[in-house]
Amino acid sequence: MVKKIQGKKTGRTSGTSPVQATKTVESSKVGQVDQVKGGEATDRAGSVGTAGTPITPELREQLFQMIDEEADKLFGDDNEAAEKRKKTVKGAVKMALESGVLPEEE
Amino acid sequence: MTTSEETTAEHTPGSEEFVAKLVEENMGWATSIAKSVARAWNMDWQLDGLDGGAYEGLLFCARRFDPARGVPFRGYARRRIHEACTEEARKSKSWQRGTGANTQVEQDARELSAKLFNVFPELRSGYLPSNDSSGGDPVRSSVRQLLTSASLMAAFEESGSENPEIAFEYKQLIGVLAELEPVHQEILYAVYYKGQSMRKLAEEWKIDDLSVIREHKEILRFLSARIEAPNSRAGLRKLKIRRGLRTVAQQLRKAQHEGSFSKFLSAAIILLILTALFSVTAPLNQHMAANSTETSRGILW
Repeated sequence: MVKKIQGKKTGRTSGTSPVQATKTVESSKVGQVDQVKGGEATDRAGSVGTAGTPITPELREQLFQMIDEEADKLFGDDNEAAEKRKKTVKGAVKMALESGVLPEEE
Repeated sequence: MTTSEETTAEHTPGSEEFVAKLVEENMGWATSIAKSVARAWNMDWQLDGLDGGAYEGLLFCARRFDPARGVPFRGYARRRIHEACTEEARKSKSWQRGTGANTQVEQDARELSAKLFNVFPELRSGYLPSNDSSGGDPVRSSVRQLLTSASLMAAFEESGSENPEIAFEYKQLIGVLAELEPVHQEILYAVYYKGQSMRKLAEEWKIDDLSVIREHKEILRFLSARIEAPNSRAGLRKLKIRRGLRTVAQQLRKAQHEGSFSKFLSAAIILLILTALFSVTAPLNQHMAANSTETSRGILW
């Protein structure tokens, strides 16, 4: 037995609305954005997304101390070869940072 | 209005007057960059030609500077001037002879620091590498990136060494690298083994170079944790692939590309097996050869 549907019957529907044609939605100008992005990547010192903290003379000493601390954690003191490599790596990073310290105006 | 802005307002970009004015205004600043490089490498900025390099870099940039791009001149020129100074330094006799580097370690450090500029060009502009890590000290994180990167370079440089300790450590490093996803292995292989720029690699893969640059930093962070504390939680976790590289990762998997360092390891294992086999079978062969010689002598007599 099918249970009788009770309640008020729905009235007639008012009909369907006509299907709307597809609209052209203006998307962001990808080409122009790409050009700007390319310009930033090549021209700006410290391009977007790749450059962090500026290396200042004040930060220099702190950086050198951090290099010593982090190198000790990374290398430990296993053997002579590791010790030599630690010195080389520490020296290299210090030189790289030193060369980038913001110059004072002459 | 600054002097550079005045120059831009008064003269046509690219004109001789414009170039001359820019050079005049920025020569002192360019000299300071040359001195910074010389100080870092314990060289003489004049005797070793860094002043000439700075001037050439400055002139090069002044001729090409276009204020319409909205980039300040010094922001545009600094990297190029630093590059010119380091190029001159490396061509100098002092560099070739190792003058100013009191030990071999210092000379090796110089060479390594020059390579670091290729991987982290922002250093030339006086910036630490950025990092996306939320929380923690960003400066310390940048230092760790640099140390890990320099360690990789040093390890690959030493890979041909006959020192057994170094060879053993190199083998351990390759083992760690071989555990990475193939796409991560290829980034490290391209940058540290082939000396390719990340931009070039991104062009080959037809993806945005920032995806490669950022992923490279994640790989370094992961390796740093892995090497420092291999059994820690950070050391044991698998490094995820960022969205921008997933297509490349899928392509590599489809092509069944196992990763360059995985191939190294497989080849090394095969070589070890063959060497072990040879060391076992060689005496056996000699014994058999000796027996066959005696047998043939018996036949002759």
